[in-house]
Amino acid sequence: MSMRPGKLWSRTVFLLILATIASTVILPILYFLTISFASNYEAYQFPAKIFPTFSYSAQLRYNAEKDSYTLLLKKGSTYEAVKTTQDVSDFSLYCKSQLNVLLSSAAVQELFNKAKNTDHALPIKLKKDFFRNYIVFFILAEGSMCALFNSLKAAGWTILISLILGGVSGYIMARYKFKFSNTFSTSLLVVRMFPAVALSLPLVVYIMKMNLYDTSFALAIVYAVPNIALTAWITSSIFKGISVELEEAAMVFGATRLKTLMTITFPLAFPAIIASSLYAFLAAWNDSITALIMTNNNPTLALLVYRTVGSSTIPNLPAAGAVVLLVPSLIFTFIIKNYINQLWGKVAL
Amino acid sequence: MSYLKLNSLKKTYPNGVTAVKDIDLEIEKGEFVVILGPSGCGKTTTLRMLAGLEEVTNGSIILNGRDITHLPPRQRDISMIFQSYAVWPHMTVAENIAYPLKLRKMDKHTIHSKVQEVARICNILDYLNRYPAQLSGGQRQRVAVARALAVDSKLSLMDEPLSNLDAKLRTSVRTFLKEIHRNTGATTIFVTHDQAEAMALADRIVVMNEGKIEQVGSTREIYNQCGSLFTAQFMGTPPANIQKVSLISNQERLIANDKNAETQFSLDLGNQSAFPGIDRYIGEEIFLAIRPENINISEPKGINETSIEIVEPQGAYTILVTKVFGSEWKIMLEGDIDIRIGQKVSLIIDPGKIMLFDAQSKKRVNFS
Repeated sequence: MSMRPGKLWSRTVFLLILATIASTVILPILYFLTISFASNYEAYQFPAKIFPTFSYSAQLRYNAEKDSYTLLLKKGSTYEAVKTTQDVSDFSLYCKSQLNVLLSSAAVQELFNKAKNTDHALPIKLKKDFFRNYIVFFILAEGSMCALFNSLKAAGWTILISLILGGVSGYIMARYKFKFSNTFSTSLLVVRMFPAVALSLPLVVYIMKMNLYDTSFALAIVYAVPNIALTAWITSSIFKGISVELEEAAMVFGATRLKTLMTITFPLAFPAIIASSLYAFLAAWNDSITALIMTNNNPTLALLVYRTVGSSTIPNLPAAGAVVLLVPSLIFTFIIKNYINQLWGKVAL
Repeated sequence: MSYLKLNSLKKTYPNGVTAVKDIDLEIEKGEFVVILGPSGCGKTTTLRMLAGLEEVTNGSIILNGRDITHLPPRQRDISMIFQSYAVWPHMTVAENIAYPLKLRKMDKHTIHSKVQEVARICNILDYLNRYPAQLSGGQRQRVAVARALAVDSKLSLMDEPLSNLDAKLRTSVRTFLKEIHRNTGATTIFVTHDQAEAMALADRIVVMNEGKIEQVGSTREIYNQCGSLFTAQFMGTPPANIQKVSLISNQERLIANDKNAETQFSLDLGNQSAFPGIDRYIGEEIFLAIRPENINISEPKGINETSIEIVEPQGAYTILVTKVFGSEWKIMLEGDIDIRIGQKVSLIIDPGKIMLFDAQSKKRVNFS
């Protein structure tokens, strides 16, 4: 069977696009989700599982000569011995910490008795406590609700500062031509080139002098610096998309410049401006370096995740922390999803 | 004192380009004035200066005895219709019309009745609750007209309001605008590059070129008594036939010869007595302009003989192309003319319809 070259070509492109989406979006998210639900035992396994598991197929064997019990977990087609013990509480602890399986001492004792009365290995099914990592994370990360609130506050202030200052610069860039206006817009981008650390280290001195150290507002100031430039560029393209004649019409028909801005320009640009706040939100939400320098007792959620699980050698707890951090971003994006299409100057007319 | 007076109005942009040079114009109350000119002639800039959307570099604008030269647009008591309609997309039709009234702090009942009134006039009553995106171009333009009507302004400005509409709609909206003007008597300044629009709408036409006024006059004056060579070239479809010729007098008849004498063609313009005062131009170079419809043809008679090169039937009239002085001249004849290509004819020219322009100043040479 032969295929027309054109069709083959378009099929190849389609598959390439599919592969790109899979490798950049779906697989990483899936990996994070699976790892965040994995127990320590599973996290060490190679290759890693694609989907999270809910239970283990296991066997419990009684060793008569040593009077001990061996737990075997199914790996491929064989069973692998993972724990040999005589003690009920030792077994229970192992299940809890390594397998995310909650078994009371009584339940373990019952299993032991059953295994002892069987000649060969006793097949059992161990049910995983699915959200164990998240529970552990929240237990470890003390004050996580407080940190979540701090993060939201910092993000809110960042959005506010970026949109007000960046929006005004964006409007000026879009509507006024003056000497060096191109230099002005390009130089805005230079601000984005400063590393966050380089900005926050000197700033922390001034912040302390202003009695703003360890506050969300101080954090927002640092976050806003590079974001003002970005917001200015985004909003300027939004304002360029709104016809000047619409503003002129308002002014001819009796509106002041301010009234025109408030009743014509702003309502038209509003959806796109909201969408551009996504950038400010993400910058504030995902940062931990600046927060490390600028806060002490009031960490943000991202910093808390870093402090709690940043030094962990097993990836499952950090993954759970990452997912905790990801969810509010997803919710925010979901709320403004209708506006995102109007970003980059696509104003519905 | 006229109603609207522009005194040596001038506009120079920061980049040094002078778009409008010394415009003087007086407009009476209730007049429909069309500013006509090719793109880049400064007509839109003039209108925007009237609206207050462009700063005036020099000169003054007096409206109804008040100097409005440097007032912001909102204090000028004007209304405007834009080329892109400029109806606000986030407001319904009713809100669009009501917005200027709200800014004028009218009470709700007055606004409501006013909106209903103008919507009825503009035939958009059914669309009052729709958004502009749900309307066609013609309907949007009606909304823009209704909005302008509702404010009862001292001066109504229109910036090429028909040029975004398709050809068929353009003529119907044109008629509609003329009807509106007849009923309201609002002083109107209408800017366009389309001479058909200008001639159909205007009480007076202001022809502009390169930032200056070429001629002001009624449609008839602008068309038949062009004040300058530019107007003759610009007005008319097809425009006037123009040739630089040298005039000679031969047995009381005025003869135009080809300036370069290459083609040996000479055009008999008729009895010299039809051109009183032409003496000083005898032997001089001069621009000769004749409108295509002012030339007729007859059987070859020995004078003004030429042959037909192209025939363009248009149904109601026929355009013939001939070679005169080596360049293509167009002749417009009523009806469907049965004529062969290559046929020899004599051109018959009514001396009263001949326009002559000074070779240097390019202004009309008047005889009387």
